[in-house]
Amino acid sequence: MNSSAKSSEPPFAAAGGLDTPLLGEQDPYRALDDLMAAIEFFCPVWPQRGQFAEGARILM
Amino acid sequence: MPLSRLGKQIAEAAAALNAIGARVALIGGLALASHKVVRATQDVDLLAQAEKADEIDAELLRLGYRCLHRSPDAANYLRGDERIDLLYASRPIARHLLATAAEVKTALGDLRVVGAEGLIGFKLQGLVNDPRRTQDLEDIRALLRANSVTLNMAELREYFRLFDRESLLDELLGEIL
Repeated sequence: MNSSAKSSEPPFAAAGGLDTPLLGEQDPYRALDDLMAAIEFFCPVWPQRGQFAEGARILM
Repeated sequence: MPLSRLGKQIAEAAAALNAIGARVALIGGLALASHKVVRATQDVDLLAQAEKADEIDAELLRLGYRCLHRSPDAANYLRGDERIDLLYASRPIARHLLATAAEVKTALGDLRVVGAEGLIGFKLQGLVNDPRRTQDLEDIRALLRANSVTLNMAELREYFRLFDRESLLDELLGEIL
């Protein structure tokens, strides 16, 4: 199944809501890398992501 | 040394783009980590110097990416299942956010990351362009909660005003205050 940006909900694996508390002065990117290493171990295939839409309101 | 494929991808891309003198900064899910929110993501979203678009394109092609889409505003690159999405800083707000992005030394190398207010602004822009992107709204909520004491509310309100969504900001702030 192709879980592209056309689906009504973003797929969990593409942008999961796993907030993890940081401990003290831990490098948050080390924590992210550790988290992603674990997730990649269990979920090696990622859903496709949509491309930027033509005509999008880019105001920033 | 990164352990994950995503970490290695970021480290490689950041080092390569730094080496050609292209100023880029993390936006999107990866940038959340610098602002007290760590969540799983596969998306490498970068704010990049518009003037360096051609050089960045050449460098990413050299690294094995192919260009899926490119416009004056944005570009998407793919290598296998690894994506890099670029938003070019050509307007005053984005140029300012890129110029003032903090440089941080991380396990993935030296990275620049936009401030929390700008990150929320980009998330809002994504949400406005595609209201189905509910993750963007959840990220805005998480950033507001985690940074409520330090956020520059005047700057934040400007971004919500830009997209005519001030009522959404009030609603979200009402949830956390």
